[in-house]
Amino acid sequence: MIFFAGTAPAQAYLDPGTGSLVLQAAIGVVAGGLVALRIYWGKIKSFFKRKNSRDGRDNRFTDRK
Amino acid sequence: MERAVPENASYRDPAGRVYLLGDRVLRSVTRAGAADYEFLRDGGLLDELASDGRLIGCTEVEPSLLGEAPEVRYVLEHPRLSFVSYPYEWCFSALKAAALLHLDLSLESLERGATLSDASAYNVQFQGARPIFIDVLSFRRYRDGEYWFAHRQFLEQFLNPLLLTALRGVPFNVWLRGRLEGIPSDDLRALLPWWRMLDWRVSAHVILPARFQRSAAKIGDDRVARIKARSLPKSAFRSMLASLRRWIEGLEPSLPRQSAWSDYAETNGYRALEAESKANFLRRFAAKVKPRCLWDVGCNAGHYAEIALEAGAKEVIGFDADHGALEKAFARASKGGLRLLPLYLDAADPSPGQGWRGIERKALGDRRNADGLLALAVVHHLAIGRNLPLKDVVDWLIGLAPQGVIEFVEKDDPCVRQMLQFRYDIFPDYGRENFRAAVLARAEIIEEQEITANRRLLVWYNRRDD
Repeated sequence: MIFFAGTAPAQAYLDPGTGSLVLQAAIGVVAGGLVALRIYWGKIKSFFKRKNSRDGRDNRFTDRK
Repeated sequence: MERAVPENASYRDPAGRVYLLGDRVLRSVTRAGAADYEFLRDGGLLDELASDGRLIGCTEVEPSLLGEAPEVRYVLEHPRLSFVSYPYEWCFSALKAAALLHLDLSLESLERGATLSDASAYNVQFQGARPIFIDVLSFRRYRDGEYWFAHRQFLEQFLNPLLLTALRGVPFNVWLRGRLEGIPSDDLRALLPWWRMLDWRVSAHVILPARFQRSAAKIGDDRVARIKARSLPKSAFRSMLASLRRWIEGLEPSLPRQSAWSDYAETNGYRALEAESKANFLRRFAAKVKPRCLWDVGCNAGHYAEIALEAGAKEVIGFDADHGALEKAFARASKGGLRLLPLYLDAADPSPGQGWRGIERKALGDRRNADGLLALAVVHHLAIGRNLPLKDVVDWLIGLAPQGVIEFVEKDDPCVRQMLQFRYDIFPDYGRENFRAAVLARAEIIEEQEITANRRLLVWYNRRDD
């Protein structure tokens, strides 16, 4: 058996076509970037949330954007 | 004992192949495909999709049916399809329905940890206007982060042909027949005006893959390694499928608004009474013969096919060369849930045997399954429109099914006069007596009737076995 930890196995019985794979690798990078951004954004939001709740303010309104 | 014969169209996938054993359709699952098959079977996905009619059913049978075959782990039996059609015979809406089915199955399997290993349009068949997926071994376990390996095949077999018709107004049929692999992105790209690039979907699924493919020859080993090391997150895979689905769902064929024959049923000069006597003749025929499968050559928008179905035919395969008429017939079948499948056919040039060794896809003549024929107002199109000898046309038609109805249109009929308006009349043999003689050369005439004032003739024949 072959183990590809976290990578995409190139074992299709079809020839996937290099053009399509280059495209998907690019989509993968962009999607990965978006995921990273979202995580980052989440961190930023939660940082401010914590700060707000530490101030003891009602944050129901400040959160609504 | 009867031996199982491998089906010629099924040899590419190492996971298994299809065999015919008499009337039975069997599929082997080899060692290479067994683990994926078990995963899918035990997860219940195959059963669920089969029960709502989108996937062909299968039951495990005794492996010894295939004889001595050490690499075979399972043998499955499928119900036999009455007729196999090919994507180059489908109308736009049929290919679109097949594409949507493929994407739906991909999206739903992904939620269940499975994916489709290929995207061949030949894996879809039709029962009436309803598409059904026939390759159970296309399903396999999804590995997290894997690429969509069948993306290119999906583009060539589904998206590019649909775009050719939707964006450029060119019917895809002869192109798909000319290249069984489908339409390459590079070919389609060359046909699109530059401003189509502004549509990001065209850029993403046509222009970029074509461009990357062209530069692929120069790609270095390090680049290959980088691509292999990367992955496509599941969410990105899902959104690729979903955005293709949304796009394709909105595509419509850009065909001339009024094709020559799509309005034929309404404008051909029949008076209501005459159309009704034609319908009654067909009703008598269909009620008496009760064809299991009726071939309607020159089916137009499917009006008479529907009458035949109501009167007793179980299933109709319709054929026409007019794309507008086929769209109407497909819509009629789809809306009414009719067992009518309209297919593209140029009767003077029917689908040949082709593909690997010339037998991978069968010629239309080798897929004959009709026990009834309708050929209404087609003889003159072939005999006069295409210069085919009258008796050969009749002989070909009668060869399609043992019983049927053929309509003969006289030379002084407005339709034929129009066909001859700029031509020399080189058809001295074209006439009713020669038509009847050609029918009688191969068949008995059960009933005949003149149905219009300009003497259109319907003949109900019964072929002699010889």
